[in-house]
Amino acid sequence: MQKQIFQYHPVIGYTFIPNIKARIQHNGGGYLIKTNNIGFRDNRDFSLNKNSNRGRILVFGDSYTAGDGVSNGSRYTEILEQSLSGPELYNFGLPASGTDQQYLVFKEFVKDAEYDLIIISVLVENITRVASRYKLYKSSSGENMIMEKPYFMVEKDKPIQLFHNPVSKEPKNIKEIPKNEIKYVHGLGKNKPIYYLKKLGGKQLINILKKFYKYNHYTQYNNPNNISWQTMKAILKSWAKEVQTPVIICPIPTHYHYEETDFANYYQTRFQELYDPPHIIIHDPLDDYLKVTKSKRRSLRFATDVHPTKLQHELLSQSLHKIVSSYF
Amino acid sequence: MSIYVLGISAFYHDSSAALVKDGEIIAAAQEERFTRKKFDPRFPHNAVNYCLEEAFIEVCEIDAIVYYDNPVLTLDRVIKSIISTAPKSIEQWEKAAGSILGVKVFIEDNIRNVLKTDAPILFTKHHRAHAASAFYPSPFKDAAFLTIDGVGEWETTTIGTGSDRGIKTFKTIHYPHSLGLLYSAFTYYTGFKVNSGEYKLMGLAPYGEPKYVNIIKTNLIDIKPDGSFQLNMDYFGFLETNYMTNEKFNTLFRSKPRDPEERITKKDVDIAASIQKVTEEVVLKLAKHTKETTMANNLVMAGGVALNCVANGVLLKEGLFDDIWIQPAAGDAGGALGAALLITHEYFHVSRKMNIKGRDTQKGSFLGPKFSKSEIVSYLHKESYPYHVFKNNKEQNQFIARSIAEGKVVGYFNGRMEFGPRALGARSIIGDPRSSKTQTIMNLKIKYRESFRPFAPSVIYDKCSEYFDLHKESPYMLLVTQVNKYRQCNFKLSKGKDEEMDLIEIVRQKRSDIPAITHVDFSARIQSVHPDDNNEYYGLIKEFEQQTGYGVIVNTSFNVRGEPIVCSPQDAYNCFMNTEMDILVLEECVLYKSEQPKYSQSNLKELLENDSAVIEKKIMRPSVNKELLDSFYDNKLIKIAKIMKKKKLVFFELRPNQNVESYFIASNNNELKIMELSIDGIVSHLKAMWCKEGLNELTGLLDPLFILANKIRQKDHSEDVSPFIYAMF
Repeated sequence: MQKQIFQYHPVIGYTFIPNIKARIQHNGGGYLIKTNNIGFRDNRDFSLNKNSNRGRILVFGDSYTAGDGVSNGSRYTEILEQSLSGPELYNFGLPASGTDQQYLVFKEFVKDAEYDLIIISVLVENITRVASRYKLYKSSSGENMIMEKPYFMVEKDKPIQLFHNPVSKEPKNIKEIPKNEIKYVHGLGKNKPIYYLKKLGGKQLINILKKFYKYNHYTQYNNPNNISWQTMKAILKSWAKEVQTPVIICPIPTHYHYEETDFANYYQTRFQELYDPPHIIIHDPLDDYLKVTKSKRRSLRFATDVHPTKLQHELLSQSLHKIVSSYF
Repeated sequence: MSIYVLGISAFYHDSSAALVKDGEIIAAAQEERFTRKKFDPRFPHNAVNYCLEEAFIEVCEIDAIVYYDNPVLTLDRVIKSIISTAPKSIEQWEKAAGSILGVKVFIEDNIRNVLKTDAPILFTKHHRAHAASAFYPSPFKDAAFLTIDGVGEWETTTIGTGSDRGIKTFKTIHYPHSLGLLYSAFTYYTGFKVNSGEYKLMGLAPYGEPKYVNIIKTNLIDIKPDGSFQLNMDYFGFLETNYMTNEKFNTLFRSKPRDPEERITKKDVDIAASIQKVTEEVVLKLAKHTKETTMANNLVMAGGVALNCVANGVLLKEGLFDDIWIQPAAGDAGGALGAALLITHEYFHVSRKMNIKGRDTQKGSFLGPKFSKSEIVSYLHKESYPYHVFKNNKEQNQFIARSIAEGKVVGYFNGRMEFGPRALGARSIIGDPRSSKTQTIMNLKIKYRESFRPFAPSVIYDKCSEYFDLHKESPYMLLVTQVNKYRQCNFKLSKGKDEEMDLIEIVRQKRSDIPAITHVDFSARIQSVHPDDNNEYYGLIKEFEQQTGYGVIVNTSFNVRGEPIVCSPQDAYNCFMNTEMDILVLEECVLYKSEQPKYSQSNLKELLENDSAVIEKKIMRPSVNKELLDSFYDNKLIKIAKIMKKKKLVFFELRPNQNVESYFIASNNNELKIMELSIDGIVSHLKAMWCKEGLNELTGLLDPLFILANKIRQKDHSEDVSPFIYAMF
């Protein structure tokens, strides 16, 4: 039995249930989570106004930031706070969320709060989520069910527009949605060519072919006009516009990138489009990841789960420390 | 720095985990509650996870993990037992080998793999864990202990003391001579499931007359004046087959075991009454001898037989001891708790902390998970289930009490879940004890079970003696006593002829002014409720008293037949909607059945089928590895058995030796008391043991035995608990 840890939220889709303690079973041995008064994994309650003169950094992201697989204290946010020994860091990570939902977290919970720095940790994979409108899950009877998620659409010269607002509470069977909506279901189906190639020749063959054909899992970054990238870019720009303090956008590489089976230059080029100092800074930790020996890099993720291990959290916090420390 | 010890009980039946911090019980839970598989014998992943969650600690903060049973001694028993009964024991070998060689010898390695821990993994002895589970949480500074169960390693009964010098065992009785196994044999014979139906047999006993006591005592068990006993194995099947009894047993009682589909007859209830009587006699004699041996003022008890609350009531009434305390999780689940307490006090030498109010330290046995209001509300919102919240606790209690008094049946989910087999007001179904309809309605429309079983009363502790002949607390529903004479009605149990028992008709007759909890012999299984243990539940009964004048309500476990007691709000809602309960209380949220949407997630049919009265009589043989096991049996074990027979070596008596004065064996307290046991450790300990016993033939068996173990190794216990034979391996 897995304890219910999420609750329905009409705008974001879901958040953690506030004020709970739980231990989540995991192939890494299990981890402890504690949520605060507003339903985020943080040992500290959050109030709009600062309680002290300490600086305040608010960090947004998905499960990599929320810390799936590790306990609260082992996440990069907590390690970074300790190493900075000045400002307080609040973790607003929301597992399985897209940048769209993370932006909505900011709008719902933080917009009017006092803070000194915002860090938006965008897992490179999140580009697939901003393009999606539904989240897939398996029901207890094994059926493919979907839940709505909020999403934004962009139209030239117009502000981004929010849909699925409020998010429906009712799950649907995937058969209930129109066929032309199926492509917007996140998590549906395997990458077929890769799947069959893997079956045929194993991982090594895949890697050789990927290198040869310069294959990239997230082709959305290949083209600046790609609609998914345009959406993500618009979301991040709108978000930054609402923030009066500096914003650090930190694209978090996936294991394909730090294990060098995908090329990073595509996503790196795209994120640089957002660079707008001193307001928007792009910090890419990939170079720091690549300094780790190749053999050790495998231990940056769990055996059967791609989420960051304690080691990756440490690495990410060290990487961020270099830039964040300059603000405090 | 605090000392955390995690206790684990697994791979027999009713797996569990318990966490003890500096001697304080932090958490304990049975795996079945999480997996929803009754008596789940698998590794308690979920229970361990819960214990760490409750303490909110990382695995690396655990100082030691302890398993409640010693695989060296269990393997020693298995091998010797199989050899003793070869060549007839192949069925037993196949079953035992899969469990002991396939799983238990690898426990240390499996625990490390699952928990990813470097902490010491220790092993204690089964009955020492039971004794510790009874003594350490008890309110006594020192006490005698008596543990009785089916079997643990070699032991089936132990007598000793607990004090600040630890647990000291004086005497034991060894396998196959077991009161627990004897009771289970009758459970099987009367058509109930072994390992779970023992309670039903006890509930049936008051309907019968103990006509078969002499037959049992003459043929099946020899009881010495000191309470020690031996069984006549000619009548039992559990040494050689996967059934508790055999043809000779059938001949003795002039019929085959009752088919669970068949109606319960007068003969069945008389047999139930008889074995209950014999059990009470043995328990009483054992307790007397325990008193004489230890001279202690107080007694603590554990082991599955200590759940026989009728026998406990008889013992209490006898007044042998100033006071008695029984571990509420007296069965194997409690072994996890006992093992953790034992290691805390005897390995880490943490001094024992007593309850300053003189009460026990079991915390009312509310040691399982609690769900906060925000968790419950999130669940109800997510599912869009309508609910009500009252202005305050007082108003809520007024409403629940009024509803019960109006004849409604309420699912009551409140606070931390109970540890042990009884629901004590945290996961309970409650009703009005004054109505003679309550028992039938609750049995047939809510519990979907046999109607003859009585319900238990929850009574406010300070009013207990107003209703019952009991002048002490009974917080864990482990004592049976009589409803006060002046409350009893003129009711006489008809002693009909065979095939004429209409139990439903009997149950419908009024027996007292609180008929729903009065059994046909005017007995009741008492739970006294103290505000220190459960203030909310106490408050509710108090409110019922204010409204009706009765400080007592009906309390039965929150589940249906075949289902473990509910754990989470989801389980509770599922059970609520699948039965004819009227109201569900989930902490501060109150749900009315009439307002709930149509519910389609019924697994009731499946549950009832799993627990169906119809038990398919298949032989529980492991299909995999059969060839390997059979070949080992034929080529190795039978050969050794022949040598042993030639040498006239016997490992245990198969028939009582009536010439001896006592069947007790003196205990060697230092033997394999607490130890670390890797697979190599198990081999070397067995080797040393068998060499010492001059069993060189057996030491030669070790290498092939462990080669076999590696071949049949499993990640977890894969067999279901058998309904036909006690989980001995």
